[in-house]
Amino acid sequence: MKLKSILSGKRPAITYSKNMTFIIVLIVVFVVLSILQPTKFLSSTNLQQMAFQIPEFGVLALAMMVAMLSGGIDLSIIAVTNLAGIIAAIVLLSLSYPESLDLSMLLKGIMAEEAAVTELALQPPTGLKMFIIILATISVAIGIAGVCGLLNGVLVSVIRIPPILATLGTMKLYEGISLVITKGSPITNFPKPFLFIGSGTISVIPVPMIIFIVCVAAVSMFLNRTRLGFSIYAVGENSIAARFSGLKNTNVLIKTYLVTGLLAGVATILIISRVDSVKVGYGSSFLLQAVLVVILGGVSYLGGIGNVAGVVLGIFILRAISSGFNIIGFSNHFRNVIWGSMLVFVTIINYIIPKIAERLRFKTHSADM
Amino acid sequence: MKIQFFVYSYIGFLSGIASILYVSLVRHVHPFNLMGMLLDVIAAVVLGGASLAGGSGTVLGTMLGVGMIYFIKNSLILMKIPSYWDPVVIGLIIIVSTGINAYRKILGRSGVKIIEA
Repeated sequence: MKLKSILSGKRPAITYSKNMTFIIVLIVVFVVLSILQPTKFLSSTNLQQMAFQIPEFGVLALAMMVAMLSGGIDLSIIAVTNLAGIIAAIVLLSLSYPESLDLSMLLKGIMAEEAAVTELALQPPTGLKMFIIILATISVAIGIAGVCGLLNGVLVSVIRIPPILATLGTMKLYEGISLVITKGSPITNFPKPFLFIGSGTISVIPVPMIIFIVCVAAVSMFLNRTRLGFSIYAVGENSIAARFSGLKNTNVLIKTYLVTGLLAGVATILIISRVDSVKVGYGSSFLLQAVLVVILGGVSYLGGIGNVAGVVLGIFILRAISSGFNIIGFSNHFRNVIWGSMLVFVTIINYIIPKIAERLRFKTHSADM
Repeated sequence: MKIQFFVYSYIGFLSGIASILYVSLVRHVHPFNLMGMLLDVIAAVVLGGASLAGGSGTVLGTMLGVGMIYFIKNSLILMKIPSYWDPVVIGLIIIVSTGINAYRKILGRSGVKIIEA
């Protein structure tokens, strides 16, 4: 009788939707901060600043999400970002200033020295030529990141190293390669037109925000509407079942990590064009934050559960909270305390609420009988 | 439940000891000291043969893993290789060693006999 009522698809007493909770939390955070600091928090500068900071982190979180949906994790995204950024920066600078710069000078970190740069009096090319150079830079960055992701995918799926170890190894490897290339010195002073990608605005909307929205739409379409996206969920949920239903797990996993790599490449472009420099280790604090935001966004670390909307809302909540704290005047380090306790809190809530819902469901069902 | 509680308390205890050793060695503390150490530690433990899924691993293996990482770092210095190459070498070692283990498992599943030393 009990089983029958469950099988007949009666709705549980409490329908618990994580995304609704996030929307409510986001609204509460916004309202509280607006009441506390109405003039500063709601000022257009602050909102625009938030819109500049969200995209680069957001795209990294999306990359992490795709890897985590397949039941793995990608620790190497930051290292991929750095490696792709460094190679893209070298390509950009040597294409833009072919006469006055050579590779050995560039790698010695000449672009970081104010005096040397003014002495060179570099003139970036204009018009169509610059446009082609920028396109080449973007494709180099995304291509390198894709190759890195592909290597991760092969290690995880063909050789079957556990994802956390494979990507830990490649993280060290890519980080090392970037160190060997640059010897730790930053590359900076990119030509002005390139910086438009990261710090320009179209009327009031920042360009990176537009790129971020495009990425969110693309990833969401990819996960919900394509065969591969659906296969990623299936493999993450239960890889053995997926294999016996005719999916080629190896292929799916390779492509998953490829997509992760490509998204890291997009993040590279956003980062280096916003801060106008690239250096080994830049953004290394984003790695665990990305894991944090993905788990906050309702993605299961076991894989197979989670959606883009949750992660995006999670990013917005974290950004709103951290910029709110900045305005109120908490120290920057205190933010870590808040984020850490939020992660623990949300994990506990996510663990408890389904249990309570289940118990209530059984109660209502036994009352039915 | 009781065992898990003990395990995590014991980890806290051991990190306390490690912190005393570290502080008395460098005589300088900062919240971000040893921040990059986390992943190195995982690498050492895994090199020592512990399984990430749990259930296998020995103290001796872990110590050998730790020894190996520092042994290699030190030899790189003695061989006058610039320290930029450190992460490359460590990364390659992690990939190759875990790769060999994982690949042996695939071979085992497909019926190829592995001769244990």
